[in-house]
Amino acid sequence: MATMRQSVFIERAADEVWNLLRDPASVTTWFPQMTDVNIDGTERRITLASGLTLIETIVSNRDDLRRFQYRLTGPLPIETHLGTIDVIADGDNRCVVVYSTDVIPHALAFVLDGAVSDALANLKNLIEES
Amino acid sequence: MGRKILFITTDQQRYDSLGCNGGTIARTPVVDGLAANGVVFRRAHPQNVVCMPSRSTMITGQNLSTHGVWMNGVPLPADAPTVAGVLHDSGYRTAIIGKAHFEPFLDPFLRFNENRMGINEDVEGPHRGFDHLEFAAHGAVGLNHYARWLTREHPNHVFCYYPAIDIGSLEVNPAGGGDTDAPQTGHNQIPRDLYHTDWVADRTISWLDGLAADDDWFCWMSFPDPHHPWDPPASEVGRVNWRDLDLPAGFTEDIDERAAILDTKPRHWRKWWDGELVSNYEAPARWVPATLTADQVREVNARTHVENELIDEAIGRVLGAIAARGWDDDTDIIFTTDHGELQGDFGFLFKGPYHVDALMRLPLVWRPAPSSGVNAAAVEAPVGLIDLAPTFCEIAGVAVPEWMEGKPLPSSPEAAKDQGRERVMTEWDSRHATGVEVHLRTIHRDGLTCTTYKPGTVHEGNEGELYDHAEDPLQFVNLWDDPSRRALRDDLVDDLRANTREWTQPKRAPQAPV
Repeated sequence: MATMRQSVFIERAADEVWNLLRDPASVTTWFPQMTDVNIDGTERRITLASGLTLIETIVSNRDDLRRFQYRLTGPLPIETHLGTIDVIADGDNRCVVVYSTDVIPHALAFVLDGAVSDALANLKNLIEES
Repeated sequence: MGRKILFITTDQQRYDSLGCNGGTIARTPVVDGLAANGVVFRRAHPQNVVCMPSRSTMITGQNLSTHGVWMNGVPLPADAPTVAGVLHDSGYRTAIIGKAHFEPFLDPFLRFNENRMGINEDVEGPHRGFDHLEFAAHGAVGLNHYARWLTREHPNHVFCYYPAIDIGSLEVNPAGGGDTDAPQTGHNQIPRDLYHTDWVADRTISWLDGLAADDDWFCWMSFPDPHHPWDPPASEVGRVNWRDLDLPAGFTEDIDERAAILDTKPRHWRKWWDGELVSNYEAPARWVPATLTADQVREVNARTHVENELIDEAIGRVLGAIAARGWDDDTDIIFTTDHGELQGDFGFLFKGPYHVDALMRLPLVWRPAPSSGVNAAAVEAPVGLIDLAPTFCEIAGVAVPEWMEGKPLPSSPEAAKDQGRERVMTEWDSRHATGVEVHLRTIHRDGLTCTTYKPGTVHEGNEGELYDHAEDPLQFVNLWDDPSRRALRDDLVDDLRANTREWTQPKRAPQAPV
């Protein structure tokens, strides 16, 4: 299992950041190259700018922990995957977003982690400039 | 009007594959002809032995620690300075046609410009100083112009190619599809004129045809072959019958002797051979090199020779087009590759953290424009691919920018001596997604190759390799621990440390395995 982690500090309250991330449909606003999203129960389908549609299962969405977890199930050749987004308060007006990726096959680890890195940078800009 | 520049690269080609370098199988009369009328370099090394770092050095003229592309999967920043940009700004028309690979291939999120250009007809240059960009890779699947063209124009041939990447694991495919079950071999029924080698030549000729007679131009024609998969068009495979080939000298048929040779080297060699270590993505993770058979080595070599012949013939067509425009007298032609291929040496295929001639000693031929009056020569002094970009500047009559760290190639042994060329450096750093790290630093000087290791997953940091090419051209005998060579070894290590530009900044994260 390849395990990767990215994080970013955001100069906003944890609840404000979590309020965006807890909405699974908001992903197209902060994750680059994601152009469309459809949610049906725990299934989330995300269309990428490349035309590829990612199929995901939402695993947990916990307000008490400010944690969102999902599994990527296709169409990329995924043996196992878990994406975990945690929003952790660092005082009243600052928080850190930690985005972890555990995946097999290994070859996808850098790909997903690289995209996550872009997404967190974008998320920080989006929220801090709003 | 200045001198025009045709820069020809292949991918993963050995020094000994060309007739002008002693090769006896593949017929390469075109490149041999360039060599006969130009400058042949007998000791040209890349600064890294995989594609993206090596190509980034070629286009920037910089060490890895400067351009920052330290392993495959780390993109060259879009705003990195390039020799194409320098020439473009000096009035040259500029193009790259074929394999670029300054940015990762595996890109489902479409984050990188090269892939956006490849998949979308509306996305074009300029990019990295090139006015015109048309990309190809190692088959017909991928985000590049060749794949798009073949899918649109000849959809029945898209799946003729061997699938280089295993779709289940996204690793290099370990399956065999040829006659001997050697990995990455396949019977490819694609017609020769649709094969990517000919497509690269066709597109180059098309671009040249669009230029004005008095344009100055720089064209990087970049063939994806003879990099695996080894699946040249089936119509051409009969050129070299693998059953007739002698085994390469670097492949020891006795498996115990092979193991004994590996046991003298730092232990990642043997661990990979035994299938106990996967340190990098450039070879199939699920292939155990110890299973490599003599016939598999013969088949891979035969298919490689065929691919090299096709490249030579494609170059001949492009040179014919240049001559037809009346440009030959004013055109410099430089031929090289990004790195070598183990191709059976020591019982391995592919490439990785193994700093031996199979991967480091490259073909490099420079046919200066006849109008320049440069005489044919052979240069024994070590040079690097880092020297290409400054060479292009010098050919164009443009000052070499300070950010380039190489120096123009010498056109004669005397010029090499005047430049004080004594050594060439190569480095390797890799980090697999599983956490495995390997770090090598290498110097070649005075006919010796010396490699040191930094601490990593399988190395303590005190290991090393030392080869004397005069007495051991196959690098079978590691002299690192030979007491009689201790002073020589220490001198080389001191020289290596004094002349290696070490990293002063954090390494950028890989964005893909390749």
